[in-house]
Amino acid sequence: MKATVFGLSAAVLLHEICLLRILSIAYWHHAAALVVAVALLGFGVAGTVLALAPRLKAPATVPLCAVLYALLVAPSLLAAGAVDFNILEVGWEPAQWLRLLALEAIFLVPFLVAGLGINVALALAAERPGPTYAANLFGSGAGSLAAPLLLALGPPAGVLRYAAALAALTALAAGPRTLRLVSVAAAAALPVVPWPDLPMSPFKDFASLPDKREIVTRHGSLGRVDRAVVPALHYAPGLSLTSPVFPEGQTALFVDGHLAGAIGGAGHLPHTLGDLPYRLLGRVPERVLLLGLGPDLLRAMLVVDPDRNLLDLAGVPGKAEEPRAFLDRAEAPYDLVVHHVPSLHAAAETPVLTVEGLTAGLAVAREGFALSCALTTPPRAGLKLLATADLVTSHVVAARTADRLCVVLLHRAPTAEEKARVIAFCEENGFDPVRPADWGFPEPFHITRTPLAAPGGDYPYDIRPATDARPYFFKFFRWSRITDLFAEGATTFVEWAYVAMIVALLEALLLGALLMAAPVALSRAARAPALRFVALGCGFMLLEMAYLARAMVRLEGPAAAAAAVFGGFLVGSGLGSLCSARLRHAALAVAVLALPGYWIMPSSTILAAILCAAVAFPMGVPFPEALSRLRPESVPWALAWNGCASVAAAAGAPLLSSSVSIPFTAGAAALLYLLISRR
Amino acid sequence: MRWRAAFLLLAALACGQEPAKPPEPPPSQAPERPPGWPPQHKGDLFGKNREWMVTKQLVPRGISDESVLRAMRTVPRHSFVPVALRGHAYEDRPLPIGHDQTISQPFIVASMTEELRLKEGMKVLEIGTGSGYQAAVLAQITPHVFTIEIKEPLAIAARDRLRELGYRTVQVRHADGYYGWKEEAPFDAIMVTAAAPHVPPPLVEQLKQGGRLILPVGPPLGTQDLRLVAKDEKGKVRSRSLYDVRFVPLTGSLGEEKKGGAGGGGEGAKEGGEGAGK
Repeated sequence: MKATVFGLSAAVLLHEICLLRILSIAYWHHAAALVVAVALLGFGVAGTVLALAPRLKAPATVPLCAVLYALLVAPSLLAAGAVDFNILEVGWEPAQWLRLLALEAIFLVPFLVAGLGINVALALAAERPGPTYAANLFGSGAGSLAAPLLLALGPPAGVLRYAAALAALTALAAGPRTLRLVSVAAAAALPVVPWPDLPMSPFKDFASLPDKREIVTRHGSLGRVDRAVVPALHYAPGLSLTSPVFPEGQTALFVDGHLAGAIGGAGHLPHTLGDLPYRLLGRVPERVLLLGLGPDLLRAMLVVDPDRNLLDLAGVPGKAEEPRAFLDRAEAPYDLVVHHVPSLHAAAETPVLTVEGLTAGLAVAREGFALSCALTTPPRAGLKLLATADLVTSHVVAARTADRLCVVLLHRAPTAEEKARVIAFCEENGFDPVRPADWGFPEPFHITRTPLAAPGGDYPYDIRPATDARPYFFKFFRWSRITDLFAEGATTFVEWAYVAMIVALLEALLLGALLMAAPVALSRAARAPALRFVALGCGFMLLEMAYLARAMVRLEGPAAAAAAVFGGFLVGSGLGSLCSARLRHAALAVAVLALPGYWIMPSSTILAAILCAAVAFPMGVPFPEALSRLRPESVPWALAWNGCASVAAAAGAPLLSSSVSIPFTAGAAALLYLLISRR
Repeated sequence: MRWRAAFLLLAALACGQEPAKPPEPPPSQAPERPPGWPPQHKGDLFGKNREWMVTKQLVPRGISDESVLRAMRTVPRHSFVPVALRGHAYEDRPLPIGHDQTISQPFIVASMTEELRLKEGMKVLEIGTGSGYQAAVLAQITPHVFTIEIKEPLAIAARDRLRELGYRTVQVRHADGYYGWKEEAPFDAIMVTAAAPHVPPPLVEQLKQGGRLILPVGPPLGTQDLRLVAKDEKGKVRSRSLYDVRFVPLTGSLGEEKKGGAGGGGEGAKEGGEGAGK
């Protein structure tokens, strides 16, 4: 039974990660997160199903659920492919909301079945749940560690077939003979049968650009990277209106279908805003460090990007590392550090773009640190970037076009010659100097509806500089302006990615409440475990998500962060649950360790994993301990409460971290464990 | 004596007169209008719908240029949408026309046209023919309309439709709109009806001094900034943001036969060329 729980848990976690990748490629990242968050409610639903159908609590249910889950994975993808969902239309097309619900329901089903199997195993071992819970945690840990390795081998839909085959195989350990035969047949067939996949949205850059050729595709845990020659492409951010040279003959690079950059055809570069730092210095320095991709790839001595596939396909000398981690560890200084800020979603951690990140970048740059970003209307990223730069140095040179801003942070005030070069550059190309403020032209080249001036207190967007405690540069949503959602023309101005995160949380809460409302009203057995298991579910997920966000800032990259945190938490808590019968005051230990562990997170992946395992060790105790003290009829309800709370907390953690701070999220988790320790 | 008196009388009269003016030259010829221009559309069943569209959708939102309003009252918008959608042709929204393209919301068509400040006789270039409706509106104001469409089926259909409706002065080309129409440059006005990531410099180059270029700039599937680019009499180029809109991407190339580049991509957006923010 424990082997089945281990295998099924590993398969489910692999499924979750693959599904997030599949949906990020097919749709947009925030849509993917929304669908997966609600799909995981299947675990909560499983607890309710078990409570309402106690006859399912039998040993045969566990391997049966494993096989059934394995057989449902492919049909769920097929069914999802038949739903004509377009997230871009949710702002004005009510039918898209129904299609979104349909997608969530489709993906919920396999997770419900898997959750039922795991919950039955836990219910059967309720008197001594520690080892079974440990198997669940170890399995989840194994799945999370295997995911990045498997995702590097091919498309995520293909990796999913191995998750399904693994789940089918687990029935061998515990099922009756007939089921074992089905299990073997499924495990043999699933890896080789034609496997469905979701097509990429036709509205994504990669899908919509015509006449692509020489397409090369690589898959990895950070995304699908495509390279293609695209005659239609004229990628030139910040191009002068009067440029005599046009970008042509470019090879485009895409990540999850979004245009990430282009190589080749660089004759137009001197007529783009990105040339500002070079014109300021009067030359192209020898040691240029480029953080992430950018138009000036060929000028860079070194390019640092977390995605090895992207660097390989760009064909540039690169280091696959999170740029901030590279800056923190850089030994030799560079002449110029350059970062072309990509457009990311609201919950994306952006360690380079915090006050501490810009400070680290400037410290490594002998001459200056140049950043450029897109300008929207009303401006958001541009204002935030200027505000952040102003906190780092008082020597800032900046210029803009109508839709692009370039900011150069310097160690000292620009000289008269540098000023003359910048003014001439701007006049030649029709750019407007923005900083220093007295460099601006009396008659600007670009008149916009909202200028780049420091706005008043009621500005509709959050433009406070990001910090390491709140490293969400692209979080512009302000809760105080939530009524703007319903204003006329709202589709234009609303931060829809953040709204999607809020909707995910609301759906998780609403569905969870609906699942639990009637039982809670009717059954004392349902009420008894509510508070403790909700607190356990929330506390575990909040702390894990807070540590993950912290690791994204400290470690070498997202893959390292996920491995250290998920692996550390799941293995550590698994070990703790094995010892649960012998440990006391575990919840109090978590409350004490949570925040210090967050602050001292090391920058080494292995040490970070050890730290996470140490903090998570006592986290494995309260759940099985509390489960063992429940009456048998309350056990399924406890699993339902815990499942729903975990999902809601996973959806709520990014909102909490981005709205307040990551330490606040960790602190909230610590408080929950403190409350648990008092009961 | 009598003839001398008559002569003296005539001379005296002549001295009090203004000197004789040279004969007036014949009146100068006004520029010739092409035959059949502007096209007239009378007697169709949608005249009242067009009037309603103008009085309820355009005038209240600030469209005041009489030539634009006249054009919007004249052009049979319903002839540019699929038959099944003709009942919706004059509603305040865009409509699909096939090939993932749309015909823009009437307000957007009128507003963009008004911003160009067109006069009869001016030369105008449109990138993104789509159904041909916008070209027809432009052609009601000036006969010299050149329009480029990247999708060949749309270009052919638009050309045929415009001819049938009497817009014989409109020249339609299947081409890559990013590079404009060099042979006919310079233009008094240029209009792009598909989202572009940046203002294509070739189009700015093909703008006359004193000319105006209007286009949506921004990410293809989000909100774009409707921008007006003006080239002054000295050739200096400046841009001004007008308001937020949504248009289809400026996609395109002609494949491998010609040197590639981005081109026009139809008219309006799936979501609509909404006048959001204005």
